[in-house]
Amino acid sequence: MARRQIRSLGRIAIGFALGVSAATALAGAGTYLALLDSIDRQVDLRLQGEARELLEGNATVPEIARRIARESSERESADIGFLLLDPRGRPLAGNIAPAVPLPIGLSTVREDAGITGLSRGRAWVRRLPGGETLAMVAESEPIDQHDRGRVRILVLGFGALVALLLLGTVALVRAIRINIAAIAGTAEAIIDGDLRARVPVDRPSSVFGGLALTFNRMLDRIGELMAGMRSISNDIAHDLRTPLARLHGRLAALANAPEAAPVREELAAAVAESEEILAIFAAILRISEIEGGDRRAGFERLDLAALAADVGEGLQLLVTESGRAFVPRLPDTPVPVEGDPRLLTQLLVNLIENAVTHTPRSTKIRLDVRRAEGMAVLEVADNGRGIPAEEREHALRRFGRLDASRHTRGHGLGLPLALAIARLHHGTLTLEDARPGLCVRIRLPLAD
Amino acid sequence: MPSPADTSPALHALIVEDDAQLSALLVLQLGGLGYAVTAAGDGRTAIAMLAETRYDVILLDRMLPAMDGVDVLRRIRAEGIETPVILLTALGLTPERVEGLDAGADDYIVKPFEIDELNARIRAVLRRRATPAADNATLTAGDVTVSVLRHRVTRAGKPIELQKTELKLLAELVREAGSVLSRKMLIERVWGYDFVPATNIVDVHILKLRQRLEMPGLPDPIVTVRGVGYMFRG
Repeated sequence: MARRQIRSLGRIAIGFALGVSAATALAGAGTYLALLDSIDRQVDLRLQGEARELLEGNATVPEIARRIARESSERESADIGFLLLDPRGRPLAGNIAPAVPLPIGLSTVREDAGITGLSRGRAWVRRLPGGETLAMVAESEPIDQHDRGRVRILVLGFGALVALLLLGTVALVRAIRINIAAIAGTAEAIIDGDLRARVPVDRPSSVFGGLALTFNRMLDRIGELMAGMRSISNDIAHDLRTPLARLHGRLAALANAPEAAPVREELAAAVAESEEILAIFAAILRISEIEGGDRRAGFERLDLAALAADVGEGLQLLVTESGRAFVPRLPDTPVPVEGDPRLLTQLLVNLIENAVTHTPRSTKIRLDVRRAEGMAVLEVADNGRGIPAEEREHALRRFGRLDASRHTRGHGLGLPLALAIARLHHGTLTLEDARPGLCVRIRLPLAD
Repeated sequence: MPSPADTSPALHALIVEDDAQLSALLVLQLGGLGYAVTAAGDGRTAIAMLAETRYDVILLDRMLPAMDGVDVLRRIRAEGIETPVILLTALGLTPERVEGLDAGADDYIVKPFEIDELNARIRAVLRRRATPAADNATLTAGDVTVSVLRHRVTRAGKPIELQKTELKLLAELVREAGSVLSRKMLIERVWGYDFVPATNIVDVHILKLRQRLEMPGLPDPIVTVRGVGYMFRG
């Protein structure tokens, strides 16, 4: 069975505060009880000592009564209550009148015993040989009204302790949160594609500093592995390209030779196939190059609206001649972003070409650039068949081309390439429902 | 298809390429187009050969063993050899392209390429060397005149309305009238893309341009060169 783990910092804090409070309360109660117990024992010893004095030398009952009267008036033992009863229970001497009979031996007396001025005490009772009963009672409270005072002390002391504890816990939780947030922030940056993000380390010797260092070392290692993988796929693409290029060259040369006339069509198809494969390699290498992030070095400030206008102008005829409508909606005011104009051009061309190849004729293709929520937003939308919600994520993956019913050209790397370009620009690419149709939305940080 | 043999003495090309098979194929193909071709397997050999012989064009691989293609290029430019250079590369990445052009390359071609594409680029480079570009002037070829700055086009004296991209395309064809321009070259020069689009955007625009330039009794001024691109009649 999996152990339940408490993951909420708030709960950990509350649990901690409760635990410490309970421990403090227990310790307080224990001390209190031990104090009372030791006082009781002192009082018991005193009572026994007093009894020895009263009964000294096999004193007779009248003698005991006389001694009681004397002791009651003496300053030293004036706080002790005496009572001497005859065998039938009638008082012979003494200064107390308990409402209930006191048991033989040592016992604790409470307020309900009805002894004036006593809220807590000890009683010593003995049956004398003649059937009389001798009882003595003494207070065992350290101070008068001790318990009531004790409550106030407890409330104040305990309250202060809990308040301090809460403050300390809040500070501790805050410190932990800040450190966790630093690590989480770095993880978010990595997810966003900034593979160079690392957790800031103030004090390497501290626990969190050590954790941050370990985390950063893990990121370094992941970075190395990813670079290794990228270079492997790059190497494969590279190494396969050269022989493929040769094959392509030979086929093309053969297709042009006079003696190839009878099979020219087949050869042309083979040349086209090899071109397709080479285009895939080109796209893979391009995506790797973009994901490497080195292209950021060439970023410049540019106007996304003007760039979209240029691309729209260059592709307008392509869209309209294919029997589709082209509806650019571009703002007159600049929409500045930091970026690589060639890559952003490729992204936009990809999206518009995608819309042309994946929609039926007479589809309307909309190109939209605007500012929204502090971001530059670029949209290419169509009113074609769209992509079902559950397939959209798949469409963004490399080679994630949708099923054959979306009759296709191209290699299925158009959207992944666009996504890589958007991420390079610290932006996002999402596929939305244009009701009907597909809307590809790019959001890039504004460079205002 | 125009070949060097049509005009005059064979053009002499030096190929610097370490992939022996690709090099052999290029020698064969360029030879078929009428070039006189010499091959070198590495940069040092090429530099030694350039000290001995004058070539019309150098086809230089970007990635060579021992001495990188761009280093070779810098060396030969430093030695005052101004022969046109076309870099051959496996990657069409922009930073590489820029580095190559900065080092003194005249053009850049991404492997794999059609031999006709290479031929078109060699021609274009040689022509550019012979007649420096007149970007802003009025361009004329046959009965067509293009004024890029004033956005005006006439054929046989009659004005023709063109969209911006159509005009840029026509200007490029007219400027290089009589030479073949490949689709890739047009994509680079007219659209400014450093990648190959997935659609036939060049062909769509050529088709439109032909319709716009059409006049009764006058021939189609644009020639389609199969498998390569287009040429404006000179």
